[in-house]
Amino acid sequence: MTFLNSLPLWGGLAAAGIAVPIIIHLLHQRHRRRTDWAAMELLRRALVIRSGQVRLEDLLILLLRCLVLALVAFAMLRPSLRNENAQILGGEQRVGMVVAIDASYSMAHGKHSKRFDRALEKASEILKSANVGDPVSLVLLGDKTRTLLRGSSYDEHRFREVLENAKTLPEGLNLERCLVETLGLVTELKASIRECYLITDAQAVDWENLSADARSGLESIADDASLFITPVGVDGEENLSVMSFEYVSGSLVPSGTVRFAAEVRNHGRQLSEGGTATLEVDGQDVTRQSIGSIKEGESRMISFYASFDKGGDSKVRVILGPDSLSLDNERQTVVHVREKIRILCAHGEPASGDRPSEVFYLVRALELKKSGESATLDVVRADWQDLDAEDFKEYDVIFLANVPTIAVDVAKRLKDFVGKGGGLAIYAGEKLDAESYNAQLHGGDVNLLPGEIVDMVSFEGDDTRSENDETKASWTIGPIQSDHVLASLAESIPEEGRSAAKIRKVIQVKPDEDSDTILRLSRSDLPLLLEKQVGEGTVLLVTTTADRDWGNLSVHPFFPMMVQQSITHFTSRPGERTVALGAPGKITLAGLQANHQVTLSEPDGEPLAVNLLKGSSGIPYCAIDSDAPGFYEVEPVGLPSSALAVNINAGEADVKVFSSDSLGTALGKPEWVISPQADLAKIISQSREGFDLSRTLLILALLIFLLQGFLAKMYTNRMTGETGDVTESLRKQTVAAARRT
Amino acid sequence: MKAKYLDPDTLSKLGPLDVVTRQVVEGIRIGMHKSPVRGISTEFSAYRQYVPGDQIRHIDWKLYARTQRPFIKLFDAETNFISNLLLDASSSMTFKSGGISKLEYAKYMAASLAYLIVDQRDSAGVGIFDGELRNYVEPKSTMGILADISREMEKVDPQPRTDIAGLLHEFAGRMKRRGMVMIFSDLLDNTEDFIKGIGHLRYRGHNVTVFHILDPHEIEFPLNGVWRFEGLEDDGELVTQPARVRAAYLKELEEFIGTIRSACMKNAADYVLVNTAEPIESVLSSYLLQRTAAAKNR
Repeated sequence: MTFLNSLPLWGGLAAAGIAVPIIIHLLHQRHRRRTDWAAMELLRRALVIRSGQVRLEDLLILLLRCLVLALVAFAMLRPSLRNENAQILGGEQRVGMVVAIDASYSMAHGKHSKRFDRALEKASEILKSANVGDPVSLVLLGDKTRTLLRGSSYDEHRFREVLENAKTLPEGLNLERCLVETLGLVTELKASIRECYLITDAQAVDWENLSADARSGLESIADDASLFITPVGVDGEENLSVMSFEYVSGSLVPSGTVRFAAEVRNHGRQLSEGGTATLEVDGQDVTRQSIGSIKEGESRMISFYASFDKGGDSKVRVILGPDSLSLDNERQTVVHVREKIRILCAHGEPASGDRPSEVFYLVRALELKKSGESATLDVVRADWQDLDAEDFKEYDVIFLANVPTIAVDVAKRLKDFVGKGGGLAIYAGEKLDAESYNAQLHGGDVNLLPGEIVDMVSFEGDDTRSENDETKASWTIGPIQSDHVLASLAESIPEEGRSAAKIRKVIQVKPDEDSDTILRLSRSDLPLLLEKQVGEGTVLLVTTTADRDWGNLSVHPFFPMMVQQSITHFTSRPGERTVALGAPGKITLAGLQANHQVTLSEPDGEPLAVNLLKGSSGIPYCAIDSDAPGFYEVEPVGLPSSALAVNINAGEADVKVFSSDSLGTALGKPEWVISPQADLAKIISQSREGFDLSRTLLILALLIFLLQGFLAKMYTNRMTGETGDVTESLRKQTVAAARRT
Repeated sequence: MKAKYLDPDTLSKLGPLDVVTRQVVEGIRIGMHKSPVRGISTEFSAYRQYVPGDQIRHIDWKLYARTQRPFIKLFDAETNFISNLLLDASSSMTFKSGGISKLEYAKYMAASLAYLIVDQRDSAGVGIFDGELRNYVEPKSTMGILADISREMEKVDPQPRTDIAGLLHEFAGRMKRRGMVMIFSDLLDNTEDFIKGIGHLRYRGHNVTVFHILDPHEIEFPLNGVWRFEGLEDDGELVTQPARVRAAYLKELEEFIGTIRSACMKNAADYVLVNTAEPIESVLSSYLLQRTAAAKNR
C-alpha cells in the first residue's frame, strides 16, 4: 500500500484527530460536579446493574468516533493498493500523469516531419489513455520546464487545444533541472496510479553521458511513478550550425575595417559540402562566402570583413543556408561604431632636445590611418600639470603616460569619468610616484588601479649586456593565457614577432581580485597589461613606458595595434552587446534619465514601451529579459538607437540521437524506454495497476458516523424517554387531591 | 404561642379538615373517634339478647313488647385518640435539591398535623429519632404542647444511621392503648426491618400512617453530566453519569417504594409518598380528605 498524500502531515493530523474525542472524553470525566446524596443504596444498586453497560456503550461510541476520524484521516492520506482485491473493496482507478515533452530547439529538426510534431502525436496517444477527471500535467522541457497544464482534470478538448498551440523553445535541454521540476509535478499528483512520460528525441548530447544528477532525477521519478521515456524517432541527423560569431578586430569607426569570425560546425554523420554563409549588416547582405566541405563532427572558422559608413550601433548577423534545423543557422552580434573619438594624452615628461615627448609614440599610433581616411580620432596632448584645467567630459579616452603624481581632485574627476563609460590607460615611467598612485587611485574612495603598485623592477639577468642592447637581457611578451581581445591581438602575432618586443623595466603590480591580467612578461609572472572595469568604463594599466625608456615596446608593431584596439575596446566594447538567450542583458543609454520611457523592439514581438532603470554607475539602462534569439533594440526619441544581440545555446545544435536500445542500455533500465515503434497504448494498459481507496474509506467513515449518531441518540432517548412510575404516581396523587378539594 | 414550624398560611388552608382514624382507637375521654368498647353514645350499634347480669335499664322494652324477648340495645362508644408523630432526623433527611430539606419538610408536616390533632381535642406527641430516640414529647391534648413540639424540633441535630424498625418496636410496646402512629421518614434503611416494625404496631392495633418523604431529585433523578455522589449516612461516595443510570435508578426506586407501599397495604397502614417539591398543605389536605372519605364509606 502506498499513500498519495504526505504520511507525516496527514498521519499527524489523524493522530491529533483521534486524540480529540479521547481528550474530550477524559476532560468530561474530570469535569465532575459533586452533590450530597441520601439514596446511596438505590444508586449503588442501579450502578451495579447499569455501570457495565454504560461503560460498554461509552466505549463503543468513543471507539466509533475515533474510528470515524481515523478513517477520514486515512482517506486523506489517499491510500492506494496495487492489488485486484482493492477493486472489490470499491477502490477507484484514477491515473495521474505528467506528460513532459522535450521542446528544446533540436526538436524542430526534421527534413519532412519535425521531431516536435512526432512528440505531440505521442503525447496525444498517451493522453487517450487518461479518463475524464484524471489529474494530468503537461509540460515542455527546455532550459527549464514550462508548465502548460498543472494537475488539470483531463478534458480531451482542452488538452488537444493546448497541444496544438505548443511550440519548440529556442533553448537547449537542461535535463537535470527539468527532471527535478518534473519530479515535483509527479509528487503533486493525487492518484492511485502515477505515470511520467518523457517524450524526447533522445539527443546523444543530453543522454549519452548522463550526469549523476540526471540519473538520480530519473530514479526519483521512477520511485514515485511509472516512468516511460519515449523517443520519438528521427528524420535524419544532418545539421550545420553557427557555433559562434563574434567581432575579432579592427577599428569600429566609420570606414574602419573590422573582422568578424564565425565557427560553422557539421553535427551530422556525413560530409557537408556546398554550404554558404552570408554576413548581414543592419539587415543588408554584405558578403556571402562558400563554407566549403566540412567533415562530420568538425568545425570551420570563417572570417568576414566589413566596414561601416556611419556611427552608432550596427546589427551584424551571419546566416547559413537552409537545412533541417533553421534556428541554429544564424548568429548575431552588435557593434558600436564611433564617428568621433576624443582622446587626451597627458605626459609626465615633455620633449627635450632630440628626445621626443613621453606620448610621442602613443600619438603616432593613434593617428595612424589609411590615406584618404578622415581622422576619426581627435587627439589632444597636455602636460600632466595641466590636468587640473582639463574638462574630462570632453574626452572619450584619457592616456596618462609617466605622469608623476595624481592630485586628489584629478583622481575624483577621473573616477567620475571612468564610471560613466570613459576609458583610462595608464603607462608607467621613471617619474611615476607609486605612493601617490596607490594613495589616490587605489583602495580608497577612488579605486581605479587594477592593482597596487609595489615597486619598480628591472630585469636582472645577463650583466654582460650593453645598456643600449635591447635585444639582450630583457623580458618580452609572455605566453598568452587570457582570452581578452588585446591578448588575442597579441596572439595573432607570431611568437618570433612577439619576442622581438624587449622590456627591461616595469612597475611591479599586485593585481586586485576584480582585475584581469591580460598580458604577462616572459620568464616572469609580472603583469604587463592589466584591466579593471569601473562602473561603465575601463582602466588599462601598462606596466612599462609608452616611450623607449624601459624597452622597445613602443616601436614594436604590436604597440599601434594594441593602442588602436584599446581605443575600440574602450569606446565600443563589442563583446558586451551580445548575450546568451535567457541570460540577463541590458542596454545602457547615457544621456537619458532613469524612468524615462523608451520603445523596445523584440525579435518576434510588438514594440513595447519600457521605463529605464537606474544603473549602479548612475547611467540608466533598459533591462532585457530575452526569450527569443535576435536583436533587441531600444529607440529613444531624439537619440540614436541601441541594440543587444541575443544568441541561442549552440550546444543543442548537435542533433545526433540515441537509439532506443542504446538509450535503455545507457540508462541501465531498458524497461523505462519505449521504442518509437512499440504499441504504446498496450504497454500503458498493461502497466496500470493500483486503486485509490480514499472514496471507500470516506463512505465507510460516513456510515460509521451515522451509526454512532444513531447509537448515541438511541442511548440518550432511552435515558430521557424512561420516566419513572414514581413520578407518575405522585402526579396522579396530586391530581386526585386537587379534584377532591 | 410562637412556634417556628406552625405556618399560619398552611394551617389556615388545613383549618376545616379533621384527622380521622382509620381503625378504632382507645381513649380516656369521649371524643369523635370510634372506641372498641360499647358505651354511652348517640350512635346505635346493635341488639343483643339479655343475659343475666345485664342492667335491666338497658333492656329495650318496646322491642320486648313486640317480640316477648328481652334484648339489650347497644351503642358505639366514641373516644379521643393519642397520636405519636415519629420524625426521622437522620442525616439522610437533611438532603435537599431545592429550597427545603426533607427534614425541614417533615418538621412542618408533623407540626401541622399535631396542630390539627390537638385542635380536635385529641392528644399529639412527637418522637424525634435517628439511630435512637433523641427527643420525645409526651402526647397531650392541650395547645401548649405545640410549643413544646416546635421547640424540640428546633433542637434536632441530625446524625447518621436510622433504625426505624427498632424505634417502631419500642413504640409498639410503649403505647398502652390503641392510638395513632405517624411516621415521617425517607425510609432509607433496612426495608424488611421497617416492615416488621409496621407489622408490630398494627398487631398492637395502632393506626399507622407512613409519610414517605423524598426529594424531587431522588424521585426524578434529573442530573446530567458526571457527578460525584457523597453519601450522607457515612456510606461512601460514587461517581457516575446520572443520565446513563437513570433508568436503572428509577426502577430501583420504584421497587423500593412498591415494597413499602405493599407492606403498608398488607398491614392496613396508610402510605403517603411525599415529594418535598409539593406544597405541604396540598399533601396534607390530600391525605386528610382521603382519610375522611374512607371513614365515611365505612
